[in-house]
Amino acid sequence: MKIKTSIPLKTSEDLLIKRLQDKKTSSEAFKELVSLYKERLYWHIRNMVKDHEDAHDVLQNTFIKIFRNINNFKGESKLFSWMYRIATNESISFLNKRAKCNHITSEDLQQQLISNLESDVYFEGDEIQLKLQKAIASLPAKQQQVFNMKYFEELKYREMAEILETSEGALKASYHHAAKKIEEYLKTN
Amino acid sequence: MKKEKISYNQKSGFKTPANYFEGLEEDLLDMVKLSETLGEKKSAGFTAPIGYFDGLEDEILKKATKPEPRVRKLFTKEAFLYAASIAAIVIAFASTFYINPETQTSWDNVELSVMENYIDNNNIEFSTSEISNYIFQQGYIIDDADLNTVNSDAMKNYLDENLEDPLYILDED
Repeated sequence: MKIKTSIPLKTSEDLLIKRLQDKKTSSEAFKELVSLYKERLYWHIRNMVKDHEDAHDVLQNTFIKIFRNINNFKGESKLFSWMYRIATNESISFLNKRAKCNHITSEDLQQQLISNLESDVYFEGDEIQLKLQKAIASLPAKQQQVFNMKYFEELKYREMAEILETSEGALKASYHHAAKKIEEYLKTN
Repeated sequence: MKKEKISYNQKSGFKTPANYFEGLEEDLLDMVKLSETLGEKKSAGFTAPIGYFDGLEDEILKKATKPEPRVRKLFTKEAFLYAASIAAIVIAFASTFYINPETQTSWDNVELSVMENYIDNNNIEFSTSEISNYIFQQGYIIDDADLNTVNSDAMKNYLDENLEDPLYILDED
């Protein structure tokens, strides 16, 4: 009698993780990982830190952290969510450090970053896009994150919930509040 | 009239994510309103330098595989022990000069009750003769050798006044 065995099919993500965790194949696998996620993570970080050079530094730190901690990745969440979470935390730490160094509050730093955009060669937004950035900067930090991830990065609430470790309901409410405030800001300014 | 039965399963098999319909109206309304104000374009307006993403893999890999700089402790265990020894010597040396003599420990400063407890707990063993060499007077311990110089009449009077049991009054020689 033939006994059926249920061997779970390895997804490409599982295989990539395995190769990343194996010293012999880690370098090649890491290059693949960077190639797969570099643009998505860059724009995620860029939306938070605004400046290209800063985004580049944070992106590098994010990938270095991923490389050095891949053996601690237990697969409890998707690799994609884990990487986004690291990128989000790195961006927040970067902004907090910057505010502390400049002896200003996080809110003042946001305003400073937005005023720098007007002379930034890597910002090609028109008047309405600049106004939108100003409106986003006026939101609380959490709402800014949620708005950027939903509106610009078009992430699903399910994915956002995994990255930010929050419930989908809370994220929907947060996005709704953010959108309403932005609408009001755009109408009145 | 008999109702005609549907020969196939009415369930389509399609599913929606949990809580999909929760807040859907608000979500759609937000989307419509924002697109009215901002247009269909969802770009933030940021750009990256041309060719920025090319070769980024090698650049990051190079940095990630670079050995982490070793952090050397300013104070090793040996250095700490040396410093602690020197500090102890300095403190001991300084204490001989600067400690107030009134605060120095002497037999007279030790609480009588503490001393009694110490002896009662058998922390120290005195022979009977050793104990007989010491007497307590006004809360202080004194060596009875000091009493050799005391006039025997004065001693007799003292014991007479201070001892209630006359049996303890000894006859002269």
